[in-house]
Amino acid sequence: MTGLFSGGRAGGASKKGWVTIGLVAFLVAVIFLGVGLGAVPVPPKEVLTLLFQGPPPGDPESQVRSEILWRLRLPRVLMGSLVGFSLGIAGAVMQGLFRNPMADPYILGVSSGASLGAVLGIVFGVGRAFGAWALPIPAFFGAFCAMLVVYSLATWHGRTELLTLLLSGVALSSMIHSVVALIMVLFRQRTEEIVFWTMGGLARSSWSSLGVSFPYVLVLGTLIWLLSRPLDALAFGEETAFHLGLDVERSKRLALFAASLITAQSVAFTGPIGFVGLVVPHAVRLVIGPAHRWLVPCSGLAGASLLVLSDLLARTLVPPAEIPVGVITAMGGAPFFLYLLFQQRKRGRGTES
Amino acid sequence: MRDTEEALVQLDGVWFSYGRRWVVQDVTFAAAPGEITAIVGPNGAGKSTLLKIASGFLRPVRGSSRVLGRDVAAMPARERGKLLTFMGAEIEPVFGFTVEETVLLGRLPHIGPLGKEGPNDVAAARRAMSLLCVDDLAQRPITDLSSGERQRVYLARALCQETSVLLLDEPTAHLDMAYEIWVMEVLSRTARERKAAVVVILHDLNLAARFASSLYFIREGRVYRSGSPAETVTAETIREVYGAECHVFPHPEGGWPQVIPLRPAQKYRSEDDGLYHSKCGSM
Repeated sequence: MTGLFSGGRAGGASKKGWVTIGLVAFLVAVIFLGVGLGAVPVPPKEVLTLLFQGPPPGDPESQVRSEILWRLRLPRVLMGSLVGFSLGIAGAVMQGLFRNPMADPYILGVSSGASLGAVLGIVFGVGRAFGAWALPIPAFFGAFCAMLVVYSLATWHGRTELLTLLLSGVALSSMIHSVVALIMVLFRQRTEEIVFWTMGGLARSSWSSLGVSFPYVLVLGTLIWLLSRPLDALAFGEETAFHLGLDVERSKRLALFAASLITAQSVAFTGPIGFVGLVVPHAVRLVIGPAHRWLVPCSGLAGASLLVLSDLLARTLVPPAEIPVGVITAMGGAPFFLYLLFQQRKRGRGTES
Repeated sequence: MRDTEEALVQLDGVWFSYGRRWVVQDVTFAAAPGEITAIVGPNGAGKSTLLKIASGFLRPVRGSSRVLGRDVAAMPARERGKLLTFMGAEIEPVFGFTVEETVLLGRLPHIGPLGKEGPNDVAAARRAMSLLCVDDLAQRPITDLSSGERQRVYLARALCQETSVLLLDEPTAHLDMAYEIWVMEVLSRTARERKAAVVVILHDLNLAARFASSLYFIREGRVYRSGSPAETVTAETIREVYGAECHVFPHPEGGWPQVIPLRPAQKYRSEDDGLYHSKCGSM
């Protein structure tokens, strides 16, 4: 991200730069916290030793804690930040593209598609046959198919109409949800597994899933960041973007696919996690404004911190039980969202009169 | 200025329809560099559609729309953006981009989607902002501005695009009297200095008559009359095109035609002399 500070707008850019740096520092702190806290708390000093030097030889207890840190917590926390990052930037893209602060990453039916894929995988025993690691494959496939169906429904003669896209997404999602409900009724013995998946969580994180996710998020995240300027133009409406010399259909397609694919990956690994992609870009926009070259990375960073924190609460609030992380994000996110909404309405009323 | 070789913007026998009805019928239109060409006519006559055909946003069903002799709809997007700009009735902004960010977006075709604005681009934006008196608003979010201020911001963005064709749908909408004149002055100067073709849709015939070198009166999707203000802005044309009786007289200072509307034309009034507008049928 070099060169970000030479925007020719000293005041604005430096504030945004500081916010970005602050978010990075916060994320690092949150990751550190997430690794240290849990059913077996590890003091910060020991976390550092265990992570960077390894357990002191001849200390079996420390050995166990090291195992917990490396095998369970670190992959889980890192996965949480990757997924939060993905949802944050996908939300920023969708809101800009649809010119609607209520849009979220699942707008193309990605989460329902993933649910159907995962549920079919559960019912047909993909998990039992190949191990739990295999479940994200049908889930990703489901998400991908849903995205393609919604996209083709709204595309006519090479033009994609955003309103049709939105409505097709809603229609397909509710259809798929009813299919999932039907499957749950037909396969009662699997209901618990299915419900657990559809609530979303980071419990299944592993180094191998991280190995797949990290390069994937890196590539798509960079692509999305490169689309910042077209996204700025599109936020003024398609007609304006067209007259600013943008290939509107191509930019729209790229942004939609990149945001949906990055979401598909996160849903496939963790199940649907709501509100992160909705609330985070909205809140970040209030602080640093809507310009995507800042909004995208900052939403990613804030989303990552939010999800790691939420997951920390999810696994520490009522030990030894674990609350689905989606419940935490919704519980925290929904009131915050309503607060923003009322705040905006109050302001709107003020300027109208 | 009806000389094809000179025209920057050229529409030939253009037909367009959104569905059943022809909105634009067999329109031939040319805009020459260095001057303002005004498109005038009643609501729903097809003026905005015509302008969007000229910009390449809409493709004519029949006929051709060319800029610098090239089919505008087939032009690569970025090249088109360097050549022509368009400002229309903007939708209410959702996001609070600052005025400066908004104006700088006009540089998009020059720097490309991946590029980064350099000192030249920032300078162009500054110039455009000060021309339209929005430099004081530079760091304000556009969502906080009044519609008149926002109109000037969008005009600044169009100027900052530094194109040789400017297509502006009601550039003086929402502006107060002083800014109306000022914006038209800025546009004339831009046309002269850049040798640009400036095409404006205007509702104010007095502004059009004063600043435009040629006018196109559009009625029901067709060109009713075109030519210089003196040739076209007459009581007869206005009666036929708008259905309004007017008093037209030369401006005391410059001699260009001035219009004072009097009443709806006789044929649009009912027998008993009550008010009757044939188009909407209300009393």
